[in-house]
Amino acid sequence: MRNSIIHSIFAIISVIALSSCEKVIDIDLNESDNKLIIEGKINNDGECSVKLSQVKNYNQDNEFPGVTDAIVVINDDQGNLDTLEQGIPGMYYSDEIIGTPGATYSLYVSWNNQVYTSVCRMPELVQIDSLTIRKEVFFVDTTTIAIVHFNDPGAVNNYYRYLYTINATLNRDYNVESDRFYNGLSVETRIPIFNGGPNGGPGGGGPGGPGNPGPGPLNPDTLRLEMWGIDQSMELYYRTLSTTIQAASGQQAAPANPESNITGDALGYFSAYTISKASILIE
Amino acid sequence: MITLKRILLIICFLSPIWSIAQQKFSISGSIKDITSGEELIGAAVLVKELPRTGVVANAYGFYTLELPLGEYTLRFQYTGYELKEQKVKLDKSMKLNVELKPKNSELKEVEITAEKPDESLSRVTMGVEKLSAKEIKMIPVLFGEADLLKTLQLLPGVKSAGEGNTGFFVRGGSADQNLILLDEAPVYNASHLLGFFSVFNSDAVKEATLYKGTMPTEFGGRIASVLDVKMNEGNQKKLNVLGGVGLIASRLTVEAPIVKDKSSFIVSGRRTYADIFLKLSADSNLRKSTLYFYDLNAKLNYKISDEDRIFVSGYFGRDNFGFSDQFQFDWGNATGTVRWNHLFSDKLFSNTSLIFSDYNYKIKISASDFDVEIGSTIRDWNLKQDYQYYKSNKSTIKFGWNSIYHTFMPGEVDGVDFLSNLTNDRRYAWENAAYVSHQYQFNKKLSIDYGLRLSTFSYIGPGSVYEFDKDGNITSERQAASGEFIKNYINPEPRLSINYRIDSLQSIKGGYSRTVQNLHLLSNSTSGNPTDIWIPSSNNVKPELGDQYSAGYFRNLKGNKFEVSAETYYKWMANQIDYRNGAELILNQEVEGELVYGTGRAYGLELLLRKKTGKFTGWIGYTLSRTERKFDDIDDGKYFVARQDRTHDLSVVAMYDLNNKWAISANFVYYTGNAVTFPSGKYEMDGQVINYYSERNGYRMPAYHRLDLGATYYRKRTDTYESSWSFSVYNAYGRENAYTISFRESDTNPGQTEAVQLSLFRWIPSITYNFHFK
Repeated sequence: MRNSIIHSIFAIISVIALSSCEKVIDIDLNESDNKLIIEGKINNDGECSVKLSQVKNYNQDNEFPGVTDAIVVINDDQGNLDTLEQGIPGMYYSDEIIGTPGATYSLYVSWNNQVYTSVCRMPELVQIDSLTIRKEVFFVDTTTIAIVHFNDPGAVNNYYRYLYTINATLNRDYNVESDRFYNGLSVETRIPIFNGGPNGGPGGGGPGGPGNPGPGPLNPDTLRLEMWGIDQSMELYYRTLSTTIQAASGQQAAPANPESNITGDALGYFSAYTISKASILIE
Repeated sequence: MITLKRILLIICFLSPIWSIAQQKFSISGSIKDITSGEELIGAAVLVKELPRTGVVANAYGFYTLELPLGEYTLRFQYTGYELKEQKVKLDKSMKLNVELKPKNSELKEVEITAEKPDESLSRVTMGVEKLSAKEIKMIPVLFGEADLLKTLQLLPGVKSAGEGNTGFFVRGGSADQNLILLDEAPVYNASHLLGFFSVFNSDAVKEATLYKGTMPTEFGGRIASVLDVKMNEGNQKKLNVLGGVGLIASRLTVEAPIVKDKSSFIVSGRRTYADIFLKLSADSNLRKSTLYFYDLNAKLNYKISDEDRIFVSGYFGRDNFGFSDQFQFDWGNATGTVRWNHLFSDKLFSNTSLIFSDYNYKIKISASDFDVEIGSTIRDWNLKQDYQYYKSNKSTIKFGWNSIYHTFMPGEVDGVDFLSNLTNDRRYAWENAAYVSHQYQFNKKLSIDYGLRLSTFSYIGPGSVYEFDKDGNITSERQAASGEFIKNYINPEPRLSINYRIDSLQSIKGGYSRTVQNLHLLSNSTSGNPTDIWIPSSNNVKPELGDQYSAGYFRNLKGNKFEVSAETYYKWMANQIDYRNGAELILNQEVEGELVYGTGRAYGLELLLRKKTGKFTGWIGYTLSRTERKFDDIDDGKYFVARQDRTHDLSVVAMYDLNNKWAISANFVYYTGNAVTFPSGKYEMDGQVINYYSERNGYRMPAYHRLDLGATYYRKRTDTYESSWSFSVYNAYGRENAYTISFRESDTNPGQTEAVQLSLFRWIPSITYNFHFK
């Protein structure tokens, strides 16, 4: 919200100035250290996977080959342990670890004489009660707002992420929030639905990454929405990741890498999360 | 007897105040402009018969001189004014009010605020810069809107926060470490329109003084500098109406006596209308937007008697940004000062001020089924008492106290029920200070100014009090009672300045100062936002401390026409604030958990060559400096260069009076690009390409340089009416200076990432019509 206000003010000022201009420049950037990237996921929808890749130099292309020579182990607090098997290069899967709400999972990755570890607890499942739609004129554009109705458990702090698919496109905006302002209440969360293009990379929808896909009328389709119950460390990860993405626009005072929940100097995350799904027809 | 002798010895050596009794009389009074009745701050009073005896009128135009019995010729001098000589026979203490006549109204426009011709050498403190309203109006700036803060940035040791920005950094300090005072009231956000304009309307400003070195003891509360801005007082003699019409703003000022020579007022207003251009835009979103600001300055002064004078002054300014009726965002300052000057005797001068200051912003959103209003406020009530005691021509004592009550409303939410618990606790603080300083001239060569300021700060209940672990997680929470002193800080702030006058043309100076800051601005953007919030020192946030050592060499050339100076400084800063990754600063009750603390250091060399009088005036300033910060969690606890670190910073300012009709001006700036953090690599996450960062501020923006040109054409100049056209071109050779550098996927070469530079202003011409009915 705040950023969009500031962008509008800048837009207005540039109109007044009639002279702002953009050009591509050459910058001599340092060589990067080829750190390990870990994307570990386990959920109650049958997925248990770990993807490994590496940091590349900035001037190289956007192909990111997987890391294939690692050993990846996941265990839970019920005594189950599995060494994950590699499918496509860099993707490691387990059929034996079944994601269960309330259980705690540990990840071990051994690669290049280094060990990377992480622990994550899958929250108790919070179900979507219902999903409704309303249309609002916000500024000049009509925006479709999805309203997710659910009851937030009061005993613990909960953290949620929302994703949706419409017109065959998965929107990966980091719609993440905590129950800080509604712990234990009956909640209606509003999510503006955008007709975003593919989220290819930074700038997939303009500078600032996928945060700015254009609003506008949606083609009639079924909106499929997922509410994830995530761990506190993942809320911080997603929040800092979206700051990192916005920092690419150059307005941020001090860009930094996202706050990882993995020990051992790797980037990325290990997330145990619950999924609750709902869908509604948009006309 | 031995004890008495010892006491005498101690007094002789330790107390320079002590002196042998001699029959002396004082002569005191005010020095004013004969046409407007405005006090002439810093005008000099010299004694013809006693070379190098003289004083300078204080900030209220008041002077006191002490002389032995005799007959003297006093010379009253102020640059741009005719010299006035007055013979006095001094056989008792007497009052002498003097009015000086401007030399010649053509010249007056370009003259710099005048002082004693050798003020730069004789002034004890160093690191002081003065700007007059006239200088501010002559120097070309962006959009042709004369601006105090942008002109200030052309002085050595002062750096701009960015292209066209009024934010400034002094000697390695951050923007919030400058105390900006308007008639003694702190201005918490000195900018309009995201920093492109300052809140100071140049028609309402009389004079501005920046203390970047050793701060006088009457000032405190920020660790980098004090900018003391004085508002015009209003013409005491006759009605004046002046104003200007520019491309994006218009100004109107009315000043007049209420009772001639006794009381007068000034009202000055300014409004921008840049948003009318938006109606021409092709973008329908922009056509529905509003964006403007306005300012109102007013001041009233009343001379009750020769001994008592009262001033009432106020400022109100507001920015407005809106989109049809769905979205309103407005912000601004309000300040008010009531001041009473009183002369207890011709030696003891007193100033009592009651000061109010308020900064707030409001965001209002109206959707179809709900309205919500979010806002934040900081508000001060401030009572201040200052005394100046003129012991003798060689010895002046200043002392006083100051008590401020701060109210912070960091986040107020109104409207929808379920959002009302977003409102943050209000917070309260009580800030007190007492000070004393003594300026003493040992002999013709050596003078010192030393003093102590004792400041206290109390964080007061009610409110939630949190404690955090080192990762920022809450470890305890309790409710403080109303009026409970949750945390107290007491800090002594010693200040010392020494001036050794080698001869009549050169002097060397040195200084040390300790400064303390108990209000901290939370901001994580590069340019400063209206939504940045101030927080008090608390049980978690410790006062920021600054220690500055400085030394300098000063020399005047060609009969005081040129001033040359070289100043060096070393500054150390403690309890500096930075933010955790992903810190949420807005509407966050537990915001202190998002902060991390470190230290800073800054050092540099500032060179200045300045020509102050004649048809051609201006200066060349150069700064070589380094500014660093150190935090445990950033770059493994090593020193890194701060964003505002610029190795080289050069400015050249020239103003020339061609003839009776034309005056021209130019300025050129060059500086090393800011330190920035750029990605050192990239990786893929969740199907997106993400930038990888390795070190803080490890890169530089490209070097910045720019030339601005200005010209003023006086259409008509008579004793009763004057009108002129001002023309200027900002960035005259169209340099594309980098405002931001962003990184994105290439359009032409998909699969590759590229760096894109955004430049804002090239060849911005402007034209303003000014008028003045006298």
